[in-house]
Amino acid sequence: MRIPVIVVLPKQEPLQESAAAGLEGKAPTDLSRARAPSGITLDSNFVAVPLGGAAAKPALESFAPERSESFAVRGFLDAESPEAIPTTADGNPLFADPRIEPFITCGGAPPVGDAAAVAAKLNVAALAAQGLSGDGVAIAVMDTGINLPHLTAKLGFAPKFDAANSWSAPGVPTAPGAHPVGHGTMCAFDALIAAPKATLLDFPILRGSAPGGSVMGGFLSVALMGFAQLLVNWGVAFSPTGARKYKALVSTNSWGIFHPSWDFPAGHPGRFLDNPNHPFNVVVSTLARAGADIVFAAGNCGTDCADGRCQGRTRHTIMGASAHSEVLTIAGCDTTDKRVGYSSQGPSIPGMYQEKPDVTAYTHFKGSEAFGVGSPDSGTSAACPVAAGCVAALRTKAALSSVAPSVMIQTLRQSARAALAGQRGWNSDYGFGIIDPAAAATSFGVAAVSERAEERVS
Amino acid sequence: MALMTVTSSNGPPTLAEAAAQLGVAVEDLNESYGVVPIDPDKRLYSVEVREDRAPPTTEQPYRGPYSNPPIAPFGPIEGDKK
Repeated sequence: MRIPVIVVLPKQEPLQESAAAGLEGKAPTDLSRARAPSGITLDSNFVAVPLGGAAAKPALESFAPERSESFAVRGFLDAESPEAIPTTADGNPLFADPRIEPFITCGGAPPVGDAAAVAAKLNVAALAAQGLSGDGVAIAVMDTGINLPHLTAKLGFAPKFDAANSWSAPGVPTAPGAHPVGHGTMCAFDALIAAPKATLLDFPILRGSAPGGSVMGGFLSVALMGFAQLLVNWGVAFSPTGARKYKALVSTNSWGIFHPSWDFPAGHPGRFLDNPNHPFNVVVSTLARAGADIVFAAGNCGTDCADGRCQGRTRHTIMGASAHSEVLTIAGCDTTDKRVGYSSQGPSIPGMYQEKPDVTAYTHFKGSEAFGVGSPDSGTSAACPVAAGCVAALRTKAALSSVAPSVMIQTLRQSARAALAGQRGWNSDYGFGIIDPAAAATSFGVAAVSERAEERVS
Repeated sequence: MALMTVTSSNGPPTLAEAAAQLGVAVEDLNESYGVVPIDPDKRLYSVEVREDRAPPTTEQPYRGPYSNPPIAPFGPIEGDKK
């Protein structure tokens, strides 16, 4: 086997030339003239690195290429196995040159980039230049409720907000737009990154079950009520066939179930997680059939650093409505395009649509600071509204009459940007890749702003 | 409370009509939850029934009880296990 190594060699002219070229920013020079130990092939693609003088603590000046007594160079040796790797080659020390990768982003890690970086990654400026800003599109934030003052302060502008077509969950004392700052406000902020002119609808489905309105969870029946209200609103109050108030409706859902123990036992006909006939999964189908784009987070039970509530279970963790065939399911990556370690991976739970997540969107960035100054917008919770905002931006011009919700999902899958070298088709970490609204716009024929066509997933 | 489904060909049923369809007393239904449309094309609606009064599950088509599990936001991350 061919093994990469770092070898330390005494000074010699080819190494000094190589090091000097590196310091001057020039291309690496040929190392074939250097005296290499037997069995070692030097790698001319890497410059020699001066290690300074022979003293235990060499003076800084001795690191100049012409003064250095020794150099580290990259090379290769052939060995039968890792155990057979010698410690020296002709008396020169050998060191490992292992593959290194950036640490994966997990919960508790500081933000990786900010909302501006996300906007840049999504090519939002180009979308806006084409008029794809969410104008005339409603985004229903199905969450813990929105706090408009905080949102306005963080955005730097007052977002469009429709209190009349928002919803008040039973037992919740606060009015639409006036809920405590938290998860729902974060989702609203993130949805507006790509669609700043969209209109927010506040559906605090996670605040309706406990006395006073719990801010950290609810019951599925309350979500069902919220969806039914949204269905009524869409079908009657702002019907696309009646008094048209909005061009389109996008529902963003950054919630779900962390472990099957929260549900009925496996095999029970009334179970939710793997049952398309559960009333909630039925109402999701109804809303999609009525023309709404429905976006769900994949979940936070990824193998690298799952949320503690996953109880260590990291397979088939995309469940319930997140695994519904008629929703767009979102995994999370940071602004370096690397999957965050907590993002749930596919395939989804048996019994539901298997190729989930559909696509990946950005999370773990500095944005709303809804959880405190310097805190990241994190979880697939943040990735989901980022993607929903992309859908809303596209809906500014991608009319329902020609682009049904199923076509929107299919196009976003096909236009996603490959996250891994050589990726073709669906991948359990990223789905079909990282969401690329500019490429999708090109596919719909509503804009020609894609700069990444060569990276498209086939 | 458990979720169950009822049908009606004349628009949303009243709570009393839903109770009669399920064979329970109207007091066994959650009045504040009401009758929630889930698929108007199929004339399908949902109600909440006291779990100890939910009728047996042997009927076809299955009308419940369906699970009503707790749900939670997918963020921020709590106590990740690496």
